[in-house]
Amino acid sequence: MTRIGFIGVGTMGLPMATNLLKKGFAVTAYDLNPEAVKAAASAGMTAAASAAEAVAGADIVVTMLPSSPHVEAAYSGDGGVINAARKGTLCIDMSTVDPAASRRVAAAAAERGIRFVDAPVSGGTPRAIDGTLAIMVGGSAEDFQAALAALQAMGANVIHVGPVGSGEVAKLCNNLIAGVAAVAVSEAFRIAEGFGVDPKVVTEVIAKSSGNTWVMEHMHPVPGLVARAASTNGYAPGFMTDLMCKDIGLAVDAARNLRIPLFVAPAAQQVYRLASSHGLARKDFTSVYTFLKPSAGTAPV
Amino acid sequence: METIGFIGLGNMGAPMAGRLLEAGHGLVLHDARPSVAEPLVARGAHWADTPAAVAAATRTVITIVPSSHEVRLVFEGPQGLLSALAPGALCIEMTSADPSATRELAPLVEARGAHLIDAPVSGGVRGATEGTLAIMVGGPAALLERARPVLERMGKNVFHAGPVGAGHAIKLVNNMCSGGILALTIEAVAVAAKAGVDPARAVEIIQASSGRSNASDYKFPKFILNGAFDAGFAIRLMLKDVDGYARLAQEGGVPSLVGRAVTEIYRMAVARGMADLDHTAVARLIEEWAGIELRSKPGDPA
Repeated sequence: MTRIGFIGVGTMGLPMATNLLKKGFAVTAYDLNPEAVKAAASAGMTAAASAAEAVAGADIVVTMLPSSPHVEAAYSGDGGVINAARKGTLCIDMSTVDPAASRRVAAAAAERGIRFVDAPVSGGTPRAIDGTLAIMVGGSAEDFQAALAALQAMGANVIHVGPVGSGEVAKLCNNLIAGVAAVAVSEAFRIAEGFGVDPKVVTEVIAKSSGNTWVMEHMHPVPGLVARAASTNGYAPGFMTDLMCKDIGLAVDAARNLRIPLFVAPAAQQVYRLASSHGLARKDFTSVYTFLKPSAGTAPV
Repeated sequence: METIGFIGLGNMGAPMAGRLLEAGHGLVLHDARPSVAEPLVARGAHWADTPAAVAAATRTVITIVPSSHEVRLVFEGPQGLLSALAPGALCIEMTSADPSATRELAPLVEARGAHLIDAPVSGGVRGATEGTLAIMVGGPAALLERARPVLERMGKNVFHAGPVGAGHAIKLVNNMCSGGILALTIEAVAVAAKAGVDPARAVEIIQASSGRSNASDYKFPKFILNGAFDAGFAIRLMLKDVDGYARLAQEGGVPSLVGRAVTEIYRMAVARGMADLDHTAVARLIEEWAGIELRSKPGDPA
């Protein structure tokens, strides 16, 4: 039986680890939050008291953490994964982080004979529960093959993008587009509504036209048009506004380091930051639509 | 009068060091490029081969280099300041640096029994030459008072901004104001020109009205309308500072719609090969977009 050390069993990590368990993997779980470790134990996993304990006997280590600093901290240092794991262990970081951070961790791991792939996911909590996440993998072909069975236990679409860091690059590019699209769809539908045109009909028209996007078809920001969209469920996440802000921020930071001028992505990032300041931080990112509510005033326009 | 260590003799550092020399301070100089020190050495300053040699010879060391990267090399590199600072020595870090890097550096200096304050400047080459810089200091008030006589040789307005790093933070904030209002005023004057207002006349009217700023008061007349573009601060440095501001805004959780547009205008200029041009030459980019030139004509208002 393949033994997995799973670090980070939060809203995404716990259902992902649970799917590993269901598919016959032996999972030892650790999280900085003791409550999360308890929940993992209740789900049938072995609880670990530290990251080092979680990875000590593992064949594969999976990490699912909130940001680049968390990932670098989990892998580095005396009690970190790189020191604690056995030589030859395969580490799969499924967090969404800066691709440069993935490459730094991979290089440090390689120095100790530890293998590393980045494998960020798309699909949010519902698809984490269903085991149907999209997973984009960066790493060597050999490491990808070694990771595949575990990844297929958590996701439906597992794609090898390229060398280490490439999975994160694909993820950042995807989230930049999804984030910008949600703002664009929200703005467009506010205009349609302003003219009194039925948003349901506009959705049907756009779905067959050049403005069609995944965000509109599956995550429609306007409530009541798509049954499974967060908007129809009071904007319960889904994928939180603050996380979208963070992910677009990673893309904007990457562009700065690559010397690429960007105009739309930083603007969208700031719209999410504004939405966050208006109490939508922990709502689904498509709640940006509610923030774009027209004023009721009579000021001249 | 105290001998001062001075590291970084670029566009700003050289005239600032010159002011100290004129005031009667002895100077021990270092720069990555020895040739830039020659005019000051000819006036009596001493050359040191390494930052460590500067630290060994002085108890007050000024650093003003291009960015936090060079600050790190000067302090932490081989033969860096940290290897030789005397107990009780005071480092005055005048680079437009990243506040978080400064906050990380301060304890390393303290660990040697020495002190660090950040004291970036505003006022350009003219301010440096005339000794009229604005200097914004981060660090304990007592250290600012110790540094004040030296700072007042170089600047007219010495401000206490707050704790270590606060000087560097307010410097980034100021440069966003400066770079942002410049870009906006250039765009606005282009719009005025397209609407039939002569560019020099537009600047004159803005300057006499509520749109007045450093851009209409100083940069347009001195560097843009006359096509001189030689204020002495490169576009790549402006980009570095407005990007630093964007990081601060992000760290502070402050939505930054205007600031983000400004960073990308300067980044676009760099992407178009304008990195080493003066920051006022961002006008040429906006002029190109608008298809117009914002130069004075004979008979325009002065």
